[in-house]
Amino acid sequence: METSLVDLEKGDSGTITQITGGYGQQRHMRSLGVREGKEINIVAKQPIGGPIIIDIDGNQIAIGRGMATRVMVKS
Amino acid sequence: MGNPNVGKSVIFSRLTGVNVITSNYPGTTVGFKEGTVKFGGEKAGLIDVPGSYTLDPTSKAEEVAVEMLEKGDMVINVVDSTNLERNLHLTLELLEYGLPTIVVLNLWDETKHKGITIDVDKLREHLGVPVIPTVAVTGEGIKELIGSTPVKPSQPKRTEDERWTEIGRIIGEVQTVTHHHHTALELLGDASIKPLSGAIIAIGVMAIAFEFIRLIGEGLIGFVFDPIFEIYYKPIMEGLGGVLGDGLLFDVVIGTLIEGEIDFTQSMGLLTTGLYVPFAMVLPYVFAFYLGLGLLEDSGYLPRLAVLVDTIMHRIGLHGLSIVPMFLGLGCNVPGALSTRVLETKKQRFIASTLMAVAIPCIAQIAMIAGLVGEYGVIGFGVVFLTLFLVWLILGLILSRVMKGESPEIFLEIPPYRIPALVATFKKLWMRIRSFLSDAVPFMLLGVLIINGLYSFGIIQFIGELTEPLITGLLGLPSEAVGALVVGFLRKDVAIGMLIPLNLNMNQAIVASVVLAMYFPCVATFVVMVRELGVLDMLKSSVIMISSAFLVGGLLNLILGVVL
Repeated sequence: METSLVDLEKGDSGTITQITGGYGQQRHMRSLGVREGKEINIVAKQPIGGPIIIDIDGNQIAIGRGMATRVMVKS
Repeated sequence: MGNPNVGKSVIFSRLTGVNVITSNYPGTTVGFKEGTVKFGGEKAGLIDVPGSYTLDPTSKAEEVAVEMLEKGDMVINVVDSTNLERNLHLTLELLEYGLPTIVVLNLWDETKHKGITIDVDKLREHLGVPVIPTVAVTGEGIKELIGSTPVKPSQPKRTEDERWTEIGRIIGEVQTVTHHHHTALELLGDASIKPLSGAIIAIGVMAIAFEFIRLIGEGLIGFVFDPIFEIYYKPIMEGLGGVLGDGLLFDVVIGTLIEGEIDFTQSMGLLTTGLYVPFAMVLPYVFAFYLGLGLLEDSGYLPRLAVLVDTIMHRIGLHGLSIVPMFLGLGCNVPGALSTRVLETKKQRFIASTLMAVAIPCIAQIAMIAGLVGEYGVIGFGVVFLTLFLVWLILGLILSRVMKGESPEIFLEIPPYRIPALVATFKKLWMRIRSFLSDAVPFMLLGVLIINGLYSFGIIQFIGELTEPLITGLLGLPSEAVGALVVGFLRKDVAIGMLIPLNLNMNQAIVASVVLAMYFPCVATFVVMVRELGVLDMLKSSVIMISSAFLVGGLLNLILGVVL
């Protein structure tokens, strides 16, 4: 099932299928390792609209919710 | 060059012997620093630049890095070996750029803990330039690095997609990852970033840090500096006073006698108060603060705290990483203002530096505020800091709404926890203390000298009469307090020191501390802010500072008058 990263819960995992949004932001995300084909794991979700912490290849990245809506994940 | 937080500055420091501040979070280096290094028998200038994920800058700090590349003849590309795939993106961009390059695989020791094996020879073949594994903090591999010669690469120009395909191919051939068990540090890392346990840990860390700084600061004052000044230094000054006799020279050097004796906090002489304030009142807290900050920085806790406070920061137009300027600002506003370069947009940099300059007093100032309101116990100190926090929050909420421009969200790499290498932590502490001694102390002495001059020519009294409605009417302070506002442009710690002989009551001491903290940055911070924000924005920022200082000071005077 394909959902956006923001809809996943803590402990969920999946594979990134698509990144949308502006070209600059897409590039920025990919340069930090958030890109298509990568397996991700949700480490934590901060409450009240706070950032989501994901694990990619053993590295943790904090990502804002707005950006997270633009990352599609297949779980 | 290299991605943020891969150890570029440590490598630079190893190669050149030039000391630079290093920490465990992305964005420690925001400017560039030059040194010289002997490479293969030839001398070369080496430049340490801020970290960058791509050659397409997304922040002012990254812009600095790309600008430097355009001026360079050779590149040392530092790579985090535990994060090879992502780091190779910049490596390929650099190789396509075409300057002679060496690739340094730093943090080599950490690959073992993470179960990563990298075939260095194969990687060298793929990249076509020397590849050298190093552990910069211990110096491993630095000799090999110095012995190698940069090679001009011959990589074809690629599109973004082609680059990632190539990286995938390289990684598949050179890297193998085996499963590893979570280490205790990794478990702690997860706990400190989850909402509930993270908040508990954050409160604990802050409470410990506060107590740590207070205990060390008070201990140093009570057991080391005060005794030195009272027992050993005072007799020397009394002797010197006898030699000088009465007159202008005595007034400038020794100052005014209080009840027939030298009083280090009140005499206001160049060699009495002028040395007592920096060494016995401020330095102990500077030492304690930077020791605590250094440990927090080097362990890797700050980025985790950044994530936890992101929600609040987002409401005031910033994001979590803005705690870095705020924390550095608590030490000294100058590095605080510089570190706003890690933020992406002009709006964020304006809000962050304005809020820091208005509501974050530096440790030198905090130490003096503690001296001024300390006798009224927790309430005095508490009211001052609660007020400043509320100003920070409310002003931030207003600015984020009225200002045009974007406030991007947090997008931050969280580095692993590392046990601070104490040698490096203490080296950093020493660098910061030395810059306090060489940059701040002369200004403090100058401040004391100017106070003496202004008083003896009657200028303070004149300005005092002129501003009486504002100072006495609005803020409820004695008109002599205006002298502190004048000197506060130069050094705020000395300015607060000037208030001590005025015997202010609690309300006055609180109002004066808050107004002095807010009304304007000290000259050193002012210069940096003009450079970072530009003249026009700094003018706007200054108007905000001055008007909010008197507004808040006036309100506080009214409220305290009713309540206390």
